[in-house]
Amino acid sequence: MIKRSLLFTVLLFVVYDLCVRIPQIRGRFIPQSQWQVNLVKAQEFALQKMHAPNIIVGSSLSARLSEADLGPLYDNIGFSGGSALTGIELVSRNPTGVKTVYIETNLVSRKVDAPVIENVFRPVFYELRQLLPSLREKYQPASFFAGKLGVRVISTIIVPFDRFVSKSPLSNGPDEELFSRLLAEQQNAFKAEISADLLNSCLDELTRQIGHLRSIGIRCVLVEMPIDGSLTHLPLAEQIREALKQRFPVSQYTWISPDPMHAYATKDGVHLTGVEARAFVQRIQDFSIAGK
Amino acid sequence: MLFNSFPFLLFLAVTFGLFYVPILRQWQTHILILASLFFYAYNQPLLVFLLLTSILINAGTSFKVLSASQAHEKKAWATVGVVLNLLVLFFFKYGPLAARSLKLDGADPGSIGYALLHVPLPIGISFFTFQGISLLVDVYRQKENAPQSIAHQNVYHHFLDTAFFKAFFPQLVAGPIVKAHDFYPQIGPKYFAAINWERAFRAIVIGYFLKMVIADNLKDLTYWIAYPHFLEFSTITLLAMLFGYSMQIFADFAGYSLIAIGVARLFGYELMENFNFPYISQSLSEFWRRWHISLSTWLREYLYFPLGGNRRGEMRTYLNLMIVMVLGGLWHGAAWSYAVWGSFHGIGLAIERWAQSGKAPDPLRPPSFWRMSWVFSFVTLGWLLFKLPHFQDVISFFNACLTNWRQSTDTRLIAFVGFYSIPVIAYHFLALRKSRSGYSLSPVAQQLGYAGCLLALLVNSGSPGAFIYFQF
Repeated sequence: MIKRSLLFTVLLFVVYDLCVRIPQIRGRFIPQSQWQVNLVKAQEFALQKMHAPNIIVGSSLSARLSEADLGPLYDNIGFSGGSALTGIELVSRNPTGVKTVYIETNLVSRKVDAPVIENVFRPVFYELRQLLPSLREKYQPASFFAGKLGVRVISTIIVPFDRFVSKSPLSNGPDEELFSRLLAEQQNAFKAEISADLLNSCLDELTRQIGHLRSIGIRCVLVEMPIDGSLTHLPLAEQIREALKQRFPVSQYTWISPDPMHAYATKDGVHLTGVEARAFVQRIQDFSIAGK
Repeated sequence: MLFNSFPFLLFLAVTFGLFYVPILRQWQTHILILASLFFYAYNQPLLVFLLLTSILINAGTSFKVLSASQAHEKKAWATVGVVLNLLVLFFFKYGPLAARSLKLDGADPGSIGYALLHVPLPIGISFFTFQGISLLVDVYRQKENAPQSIAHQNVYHHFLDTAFFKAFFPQLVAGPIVKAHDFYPQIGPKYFAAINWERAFRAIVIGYFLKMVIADNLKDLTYWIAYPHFLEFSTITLLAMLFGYSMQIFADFAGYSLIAIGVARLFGYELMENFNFPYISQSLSEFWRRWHISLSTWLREYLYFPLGGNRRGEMRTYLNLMIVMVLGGLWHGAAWSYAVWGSFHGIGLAIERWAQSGKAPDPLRPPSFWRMSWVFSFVTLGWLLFKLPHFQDVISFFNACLTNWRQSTDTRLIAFVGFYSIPVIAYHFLALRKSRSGYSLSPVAQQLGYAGCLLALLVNSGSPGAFIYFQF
């Protein structure tokens, strides 16, 4: 029984790997969760032989900057729930083609996501993934079978129901009551400063990483992502901003900051709306063109 | 050391290799004890001394029970042993809860309150403490039970057997809770030729599949059942996530138990079955005969029956049920929400018993989808208290379910929750068919099934997460 089961496993694996190589099938995989999106981003970045010259690293705040808006000269490896330090670690390990790294600084107190790095660069698997695409996170069977097909089936049932119970037609527009609740949560979270030890250890790591990138000829630009005006001067935001400006002064480091004359609209206090994200992409691109 | 980690696979290979070397056969128990202590110390080196202390307490007091000549001496030593076990458990597990409940949260460093709040929680303490109590009670009861000895008369061998019983690594940190009268008779030389490879393979493959493919993927989808994230989701999405969590907790815990059982079989030891397809239960009492069987039988044997069981009248029976379920709930975690969870089940069991009183059970009653659904729904609601330990968050969750009808539904999340739930549903469905009609899959179908599980392990594992029951 065991031998036959193992033989069937090998056969199924070969068939699956061959299927994954078919372009029409490859395009039908949908990511399952936020963490899988992060892991796919990280794996695909690590396996690329040549990168876009401009890389954006950060958390879900910078992940809002769409690659479609940024264009082919940019790769965005901002990780929802993640850290700029994770993105910088990935660039450090595979910097081919990278000229500039844009580093989101808002959530700089998050440490490197060690499980992601360990997964991506796991010995043997890292090399095998280059030969066998079926071992990549992107091509998990669930992402195919429950992906487009599953979503289509569920949508057939759910979407009419959603339309029936909604007062207004379905849209992705903001729900004011929900926005107020989420903003209140953020205002609460921003009232308390974080531990100075934690912040300093993350800044030490960031300093070390920036130093390393500069030593291999990669330019580093620090980016403060816009957030809701009511949060900007609360203790947490002030603490992080002050610590960063002391560690990375404007005289020695390049910064992109939000336009002080513009009130940025967000979905929940910290994540930009689609329109605002596009506007901020323009700000980054203008900076890049200006060559500052 | 997680079962789903490379260090564990290496550890297992080395231990297995040493265990079956013929010239080391007389040292098999010693090899497993040392390996188990290494396993426990891997993540918490200092706390291995706690495990050793627990072993000493139980070996010493149980030996005293065994060697005492008078009945009152036996009882006294058994009582001392049980009390010491409970004191250790209370201090390490319930100390912080006691400190918070007594409003010692803001205590100064150096005070008792501060010490209680910062006591580390040793992994597996609930499990190996209960095993110790099982040993003491079984040794005390030897005269009433079958005459086979479950403890050596020689103090050294008794200590070794006790160390092995408590520390045996497959079940050390998350069960199944092994009872002394089941385990001790198995202690002896084991032979490579006697390994039942097929039974070990089945348990290990299904266990890893449930844990790494089902539970680890579902955890990324049910992550959003956390305050304040769930505020953003529609009612249907929230209910789908709750359903997914019910699948996840089963897959996580049953998966771990199966891995433990399969690994133990590689060393020639048989651990008790811990899950018997609980979601096909048609009553709460049946659910508790199918879910975490090692705990429910332990509570029945060592708590419910000594309290009198159902032999002291109806009201006393209901009281005993509530006591057992509340304490069983608190066993899961040092938070009042677990006591509430236990009470929730206790009340359900009591109501069910009252509704059934005077009616003889009908073993030929066909399965009812509605009864299964009601039990599943009741149990799933209870799992919310596991996922959201703060009671106000549970209230917020229910409030969100009632008010978020107009949020748009996350069809992608529902599709993936549904996809990962299918194997769990199929697993239960096949068991139901087998129990009713004797139906089982053909050998080829089974082999393809195991092949599918292995393929999924290779290409569809989720991001590694700790086993949910490690926190207990």
